[in-house]
Amino acid sequence: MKRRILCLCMDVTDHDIETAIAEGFDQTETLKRFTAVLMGPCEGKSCALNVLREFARLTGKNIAELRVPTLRPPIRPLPLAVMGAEES
Amino acid sequence: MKRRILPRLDKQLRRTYETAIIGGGVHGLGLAYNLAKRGMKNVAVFEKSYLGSGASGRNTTLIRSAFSTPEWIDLMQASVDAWQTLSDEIGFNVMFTRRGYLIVATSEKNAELCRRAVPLQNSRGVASRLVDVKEIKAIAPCLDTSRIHAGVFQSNGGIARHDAVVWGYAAAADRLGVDIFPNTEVTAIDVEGGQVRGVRTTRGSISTPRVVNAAGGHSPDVARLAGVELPAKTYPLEAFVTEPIKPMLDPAMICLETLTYLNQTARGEFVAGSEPEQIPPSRSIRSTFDFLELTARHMVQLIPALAGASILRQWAGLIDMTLDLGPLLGETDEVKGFCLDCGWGGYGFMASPGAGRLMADYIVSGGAPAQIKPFAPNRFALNKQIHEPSLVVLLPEEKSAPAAEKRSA
Amino acid sequence: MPSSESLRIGGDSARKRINFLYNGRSLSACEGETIGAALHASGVKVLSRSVKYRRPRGLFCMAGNCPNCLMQVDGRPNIRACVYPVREGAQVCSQSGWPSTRFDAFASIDALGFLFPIGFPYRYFVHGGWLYHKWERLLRHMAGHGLPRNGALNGVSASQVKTSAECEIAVVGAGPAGLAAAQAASSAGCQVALIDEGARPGGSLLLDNTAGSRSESRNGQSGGDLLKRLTAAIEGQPNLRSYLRACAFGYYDDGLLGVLQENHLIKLRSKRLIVATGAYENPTLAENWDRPGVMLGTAVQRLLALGIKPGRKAVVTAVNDFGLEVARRLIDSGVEVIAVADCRSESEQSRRLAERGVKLLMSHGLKAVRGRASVKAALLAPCDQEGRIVSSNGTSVACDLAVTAGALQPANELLFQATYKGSYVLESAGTLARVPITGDDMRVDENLYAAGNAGSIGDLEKSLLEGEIAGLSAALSLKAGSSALKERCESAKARLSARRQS
Repeated sequence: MKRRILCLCMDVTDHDIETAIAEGFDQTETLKRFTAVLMGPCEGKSCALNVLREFARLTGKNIAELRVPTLRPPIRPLPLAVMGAEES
Repeated sequence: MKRRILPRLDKQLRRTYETAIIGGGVHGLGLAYNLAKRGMKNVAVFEKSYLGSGASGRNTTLIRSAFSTPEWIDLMQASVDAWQTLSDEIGFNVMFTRRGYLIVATSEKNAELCRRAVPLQNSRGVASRLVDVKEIKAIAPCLDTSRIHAGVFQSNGGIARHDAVVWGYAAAADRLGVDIFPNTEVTAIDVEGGQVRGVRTTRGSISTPRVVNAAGGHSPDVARLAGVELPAKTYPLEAFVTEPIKPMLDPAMICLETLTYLNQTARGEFVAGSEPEQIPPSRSIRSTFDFLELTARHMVQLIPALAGASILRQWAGLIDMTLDLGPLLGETDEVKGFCLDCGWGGYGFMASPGAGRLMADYIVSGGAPAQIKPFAPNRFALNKQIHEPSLVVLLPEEKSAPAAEKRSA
Repeated sequence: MPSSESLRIGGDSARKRINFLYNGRSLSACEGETIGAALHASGVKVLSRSVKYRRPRGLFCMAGNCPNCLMQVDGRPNIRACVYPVREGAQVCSQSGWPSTRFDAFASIDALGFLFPIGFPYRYFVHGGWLYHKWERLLRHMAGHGLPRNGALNGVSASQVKTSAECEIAVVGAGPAGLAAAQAASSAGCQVALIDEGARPGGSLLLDNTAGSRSESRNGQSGGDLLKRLTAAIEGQPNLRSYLRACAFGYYDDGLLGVLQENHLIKLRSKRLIVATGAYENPTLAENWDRPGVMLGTAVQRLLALGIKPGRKAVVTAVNDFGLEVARRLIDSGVEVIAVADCRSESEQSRRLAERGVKLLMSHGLKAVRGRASVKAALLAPCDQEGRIVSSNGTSVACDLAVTAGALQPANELLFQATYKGSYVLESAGTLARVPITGDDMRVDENLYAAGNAGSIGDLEKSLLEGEIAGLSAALSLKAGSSALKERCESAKARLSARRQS
């Protein structure tokens, strides 16, 4: 089967997840750090579930038992000008 | 397939180890690798979570040796030397990038500090030079130099990929026979008659004459397992990353006055942090709102064009900071065989390749190399604190302390 | 089919025009459109190039949840064009691709991907630091998404961009659950802040205002009626303040909610937080599902709500009734729906589509998409109940729009910033959801409540009931309510519990 993109932000494919696991990144946290999934501009909104499903399928783990990386603020990008402004 | 990047870490726990290292971050793994390289192969590393889960994988990855006291300069220069060839040495590209390290001073007082420090740095082998506003503008055209008085530029400083250092050291140590146990928490350190005897972990117990505390932010807690109270406390340190933008800033940089440090990664994201005036000791790694505001303000002051960029993600890590902000290196007086490689505050990552070599020399030979001698754990009892004024860190509680002006990078 | 025919339903002339610049070219939009929608209506399909393989990417989520439409707008990089309102004279530039987004000289890297497996830089350039240094330089120039212009947002740092506010109960999300919660809490006399990203309250109700996928339990009431009733109930409430076009981006210690309302930051402190942030639609994977012209079902709904056809000839793949509903709405809006593939077996609803001339492929899913810069055809193939393709024999259907209507997953980031209490459950159609542990009062943690799809995916009735319960119990936890109020709360709890059991 041809490779399929899983993560739009970082162009991570299903092959990449397979490679990452074979390279030893067989925990969700280390997978994230190695492939940069969940760390692009969408912060996992469009890819998290598909990545976790593929990861669970390839590792034979139960998807419901995966340790899902912490959800970090902000939910939407914050302009530095606004965050850094003095309060009126 | 080729050799895996991250080795299979499923070895059986042996009964006895020559050295047990607590903490699977850049320090613990770097030391293990260096010990094995020096012939001590019977070494175990215990990490309570995944490798690099602490500050090793959460810091802003800045690397320099341009400090202003001989002790700090020598210690960090050993590391900067090691960084230049680390990828080659461990056979793994840690993406150390020699884009340089720029320190800027926006007050006359700190400009004077820069002027005084450079000759000292140069005399001890640091590739640094004093830069005026014009030169700063040339090195980093995006900076607003209107408030900058002077700066220091270290050409062979820069940044590296933090996770890669963790993985590279882990693989290299594993190849040399070190036993690495992730997801294994140390629950007790056995001490008898003032001497380390063994370690109990969630995976079983071992006996060992030597334990190294390389637990980063958790080092005070780990020391307590051996009955040792460190002159250090645990503090949270935060950072954020912006959305990727086109390359604007080449060097890694810090601003001495606003206690701000930042760099732009190869992917184009700005990674940055800024120190608040005071943070109380805490083990909470919850992100804070105040940090976003403070760092955003300081970043836009330095680089006005960043006003239109956006913060993508924020996080926090834990650091262990001592009273003089310097590391604790060497065996404790209280417990024989209990060694410290901790207390690094916000400077642990940049120091790791050097510290690994020096601490390994120390452990294998028994004699402390000159670079780590001044940072002996008993220096507080002997009133031999080292006051390094160019640390981007605020002293935690004793704000009145004369020289220690600032806190991390 | 004449491609010059406008994608705007009812033609181009009906509404007030706005002119803006896209890559130096003058384009026109209609009032109320987003930049992404206006570009789509103007025939611009490739909005960006992907970061590594330089694949063309187009409008996909219409919700600011994916990176496909990141653009430079008036000097600010990385603006989500699909949700950013178009303004007169706006200067919009695409950010990626060289020399242009439409024609990227590096696009051939897509076929050479095998040379650059994931993690390859760690293995390459190990020896000789200077080589990596050169590589990094090249990479740095290829990477990144636009450059902020000096002075962009200049006005912002000067004037009032930050304010502090307080309320008793903050409700995030003004969809059915959030509206019900805000109504309940304010009717109980609490000071309520209602925060929503949309320009109008309504959330998902705004998308399916004719009938809708969540309509079965609506007892004959149309989505539009319900929306009117819910918004009327909160209108004019003196103790309720709405923050629209506002995103609650983070929940920090001491009950501090960070709210970004366009270029205005509100530090909102509340005693109770009700998270009713709804759901995202999960993309369905297939070969080349990331091509311009492939869209989520909710993206189709959003475009139609703006009066824009998402395409001319559509193929729709469904994993639940929502997909069939999207197909029906496309037909109603004048889009030719050629085929519908459903991973389930035939149903009353799918038969109705067949009656309208749609080719039905039951137990089929999307195997692949043909076309590069735009969809040319969709390859539909037999699949199992969860949508996994089981056969390579497919049916190729020519189209310019492939809608992959997927399962919903809770939009629960805010919820789990505020609490650690939750467990993962695998829901229908393979959706993994982290579900908070709520009591029968919808309380998750000390000051935290969850309602509607943000907690767990369900139907409209569930959302409305949970919202009402959360709003009332949050209010009752703050002040001693009247016995009527307590009765209303208990009755809602009883109805929800009865629904759960049935």
